[in-house]
Amino acid sequence: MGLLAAHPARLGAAVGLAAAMVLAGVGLLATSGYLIARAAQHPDTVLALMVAVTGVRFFGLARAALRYVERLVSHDLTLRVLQRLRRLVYASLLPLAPLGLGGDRSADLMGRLVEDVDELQTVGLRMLAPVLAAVIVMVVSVGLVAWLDVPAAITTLVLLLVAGVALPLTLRGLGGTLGRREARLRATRRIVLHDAIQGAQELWVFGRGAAFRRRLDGLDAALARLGTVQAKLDGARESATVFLTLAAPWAALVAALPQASAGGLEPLLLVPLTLGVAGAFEAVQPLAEGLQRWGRASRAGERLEQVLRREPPVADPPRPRAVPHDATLALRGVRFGYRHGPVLDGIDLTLAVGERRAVVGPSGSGKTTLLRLLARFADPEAGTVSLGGRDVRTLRQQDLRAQLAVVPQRVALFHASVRANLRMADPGAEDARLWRALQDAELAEAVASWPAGLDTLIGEFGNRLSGGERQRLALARALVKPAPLLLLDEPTAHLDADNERRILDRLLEARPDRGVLLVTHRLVGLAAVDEIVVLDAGRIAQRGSHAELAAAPGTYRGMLLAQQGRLDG
Amino acid sequence: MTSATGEPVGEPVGEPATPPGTAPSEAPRPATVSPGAARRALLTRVRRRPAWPLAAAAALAAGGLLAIPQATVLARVLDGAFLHGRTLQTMAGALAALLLVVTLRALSEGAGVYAGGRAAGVVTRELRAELGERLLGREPSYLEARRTGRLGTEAIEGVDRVGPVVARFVPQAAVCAVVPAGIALYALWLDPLSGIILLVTGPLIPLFLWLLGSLAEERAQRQWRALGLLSAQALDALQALETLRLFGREREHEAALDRVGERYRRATLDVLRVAFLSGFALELLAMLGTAMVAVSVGLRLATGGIAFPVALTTLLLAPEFYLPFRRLGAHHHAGMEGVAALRELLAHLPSRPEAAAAAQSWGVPPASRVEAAAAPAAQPATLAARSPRGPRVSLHDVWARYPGQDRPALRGVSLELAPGALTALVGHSGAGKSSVARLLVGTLDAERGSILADGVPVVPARSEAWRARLALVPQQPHLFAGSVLANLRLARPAATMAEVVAAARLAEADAFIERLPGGYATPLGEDGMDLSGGERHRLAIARAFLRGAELVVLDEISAYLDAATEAAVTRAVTRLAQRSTLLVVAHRLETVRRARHIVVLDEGAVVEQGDHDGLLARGGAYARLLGRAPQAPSPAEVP
Repeated sequence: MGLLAAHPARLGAAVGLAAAMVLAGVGLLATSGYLIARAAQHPDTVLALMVAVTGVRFFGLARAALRYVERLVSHDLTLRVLQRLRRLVYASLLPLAPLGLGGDRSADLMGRLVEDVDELQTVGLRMLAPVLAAVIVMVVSVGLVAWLDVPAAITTLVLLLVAGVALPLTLRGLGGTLGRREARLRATRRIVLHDAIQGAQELWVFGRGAAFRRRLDGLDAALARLGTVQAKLDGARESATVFLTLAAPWAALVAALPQASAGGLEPLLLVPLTLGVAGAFEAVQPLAEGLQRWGRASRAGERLEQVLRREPPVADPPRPRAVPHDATLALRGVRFGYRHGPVLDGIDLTLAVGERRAVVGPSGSGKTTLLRLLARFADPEAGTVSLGGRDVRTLRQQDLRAQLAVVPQRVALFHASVRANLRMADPGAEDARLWRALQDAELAEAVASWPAGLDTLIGEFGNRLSGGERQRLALARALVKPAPLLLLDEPTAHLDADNERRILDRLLEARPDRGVLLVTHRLVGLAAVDEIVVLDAGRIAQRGSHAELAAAPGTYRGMLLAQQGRLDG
Repeated sequence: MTSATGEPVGEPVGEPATPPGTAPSEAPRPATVSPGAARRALLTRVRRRPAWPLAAAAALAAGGLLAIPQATVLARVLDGAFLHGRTLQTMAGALAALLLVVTLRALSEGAGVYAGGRAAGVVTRELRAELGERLLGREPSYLEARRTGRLGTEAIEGVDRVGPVVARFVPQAAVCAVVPAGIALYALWLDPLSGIILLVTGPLIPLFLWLLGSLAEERAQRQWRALGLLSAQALDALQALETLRLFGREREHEAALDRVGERYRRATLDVLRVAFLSGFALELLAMLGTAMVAVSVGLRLATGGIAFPVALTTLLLAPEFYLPFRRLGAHHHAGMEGVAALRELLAHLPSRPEAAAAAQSWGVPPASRVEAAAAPAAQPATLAARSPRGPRVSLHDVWARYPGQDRPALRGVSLELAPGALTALVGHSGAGKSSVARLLVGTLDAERGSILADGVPVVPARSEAWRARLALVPQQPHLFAGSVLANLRLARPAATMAEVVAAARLAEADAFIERLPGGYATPLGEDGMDLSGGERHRLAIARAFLRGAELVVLDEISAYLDAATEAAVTRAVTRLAQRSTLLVVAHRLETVRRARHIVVLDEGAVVEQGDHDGLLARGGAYARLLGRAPQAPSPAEVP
């Protein structure tokens, strides 16, 4: 709700317009009632009616116009709030990525986040303005009625409060329980369905398909039963709302009639009073339906807040030290674990400028995690990561990462030109440098052949890239970055054998100004590497040169054999 | 899009969340259904079970028409109080009548909403069942299922959005055809001039409602959806967040997101400005119509051309005349959304006859073609009793093809699986290995040829009786939501705990299961724990033991496993081979070396069979498949 407060003027406008619109409706009914009541007295001249006639026309026009403007303003408000919300979520998730987001399950988390944002905007944000507007309408309309007749004002106020407060609160309680049960059933249903589709072959072979389908049918039936209860609730709400709306003029009339009979109230005014009262109920009608869904929105808000309040895994030190000139990265006795058990344990590794190292191991052996520790997306539970002898926890994260050019396993490109994607690594880079990097990544020819060259848009609306092109572009981007250490996570996974060899040969050339760390499970081109560290289940199983490791029995040799022994290419 | 500072601008173009090669973009998106066809299909469904929809429309219409007595009585009461000075006591009867009408009206409207909800319940239940049938109601052509699974799940969620269309939009449309006409006729009889005003303005309203559903509104909907997509995109690309942090560009990207969002907001508002115009016109017409009636009767009343009760009744009825249209307009949004969801849904649903066929396929197999070919007598399968080391299974000249494909997947395959031994199936991907596996587990029908188990025809291969003797160990076994125990018991629901543990021991799974935080009670699946490939594989092998399967079809895990896991899997597979007929779709050299028999497939046909040494010595397809096929690689030739 704090988000709405960020736009007080717009919220005020939306509320004011919504209230004014309902009041214009009241005005239309009341003035038209007055008009014919006055006309029934056969005034001497028609001029006596002109004020009322003008009022009727004015309120009629005003109501339509106000509704139009109100819709625009409230949609604008929703859009702005949504934008702010998106930004807030982005800003809160950023320091959590990639390790603080629940690892493998992050996709589920994101799916739920998107749904929650959606729920908030469709229900939560669109509710506040109507509630405030209803309050204004109540005060103004009851005030107007009171000005004519106090007993009628009392009955109107009571019925408005029943329709606008008591009924919605009752429904919120009932609807909330119902909503929770429904949400649970739906979640179960989604899981069973997911299992039934993804596990179809197992179910078929084990003859369990029918049992699963019966379970789904059961859940469907339970959902249908809830739907019936919900329909009853909806029906009761509708009946109650309609009854209150129509009974209010009746009650006001009954309340005011004695006064009119006693001469305390001009009988003519009974007509506009009775007609106008019904109009005010338009303001409270949306509240009942809205509050019924309020529970869902507030739960969405809670879940969102939980995520937004998560503690980032790393933080900058209050007084960061300067980055040392010596850009040697070193891990000493590093242990790290998420999920069950350690992912990495007892890791020692250094990478200095001019060196070439490789970390290999079967999938799931902790290679990617190792790289993420080097980039300080998380801190080890034991041991240290240091740059030039300084613990990375004493450096600013940005300063550390400025020393690293990383190609992560999952390449992310942006919907922009090739040039913009490359310049992300170095905003000042000139085209010549970009082309050099593209050449090193074996992509220069392809980019040159595209009609717009470096200006070619990539992504959904532009040129769609193949997996290999994406990877080579990401590689080129890392090469543009003026950083002394190049860290590559499976950089050739999507490339054909020829490209793979050529690119690796070039990357692993000895260069005095660059240190390269290659993380891979494919044992290609490793003869050029100074030292290979073999990870197995999070521990260093072996280390040495390719020749040494290939000759000795062990994990490395096992991987070599497996790579050769694949029978289906 | 790029400024001098080279900010990364625009939305991240993330990699698909699925591993390469199974990208969802490859999934053939079902052909879309036109909005008109979707509406017709919906109406057909509504008409098939007309009781609740009719009740809803009738109750709502009754509620709308009750406005006539309500207005008449209210006008009479006000006439008495205002012009005739009557008191509360003298009008008690009329007031009671008014309250009665009001109560009746409230009840009808409520009943209409209730009946609408029930109507929606009927249609959504049917749609859910049909979709479930479609997605689950056949033997798993699991490749297809893997690709369409996600889409299918989403479509099922979309059913919820169809509900409001049936509950509100359809009945309200019916009300629009009845109530305004009734009110207008009554007004025409009461006061012809007012009746004419209503009758002239009335027909304009459907025109505006049509405009409401036309271009501008559709564009607005699209824009609105695009906005939702934007927020999904902004949140979705996790790997983009990692990249942004690696390049130290997180602030710039935030600013870029802001600008994109701002552009979208402006564009959306531009569209809405136009889209809301039709709503404005509708509202304006209703308001002006009411005002015109008010002014017209007012002026005539002043000159004595009309009686007060008649004038007031007409005035009270004017807004009631427009109300159904305005309500329909209010449900318009839900209507559009529902039709959009329905279009997605229908794309997944089979046409009628197909659906009927699918409905029968669960557990009631259609006559297999194998049956016709191999067992002309078509007597119920006389399957041999359980053989202690599994049956001798043989395929004779089997041809098979996937539904809707011209090229046969298997072309005259003959092979034999020996009991109590490991037979390895090798070949390039696409050679027909998985087709043989699917043939044996009954998810692919043979067009010609026969399958025999211990000399007895397997009739048909997809029968429950045959499947009861089988187990399957897929490469990527699915973890079902539930405990480890429940996942294992899938193979035999009645198994005792001791039997489950024994099976897990045989599969070398017991040790890692005991190490899980909850042991055998550890939840797996959606909200539970994930297991590594090697662990999943052993879990599936444990299932095969638990089932006591006579024939096991095992799709070997192709990822590299660490030495300890590799050894454990090998021990488990060896044990499995001792007590059953085991067919391994092999990916590893080690496995084929141990196999009693190797069958080499190419292009859907058997090109060689024999044992490792013999086949290698022949220097044929098998040797070629192994490439240089060294006994042990020399270090120099590897990289």
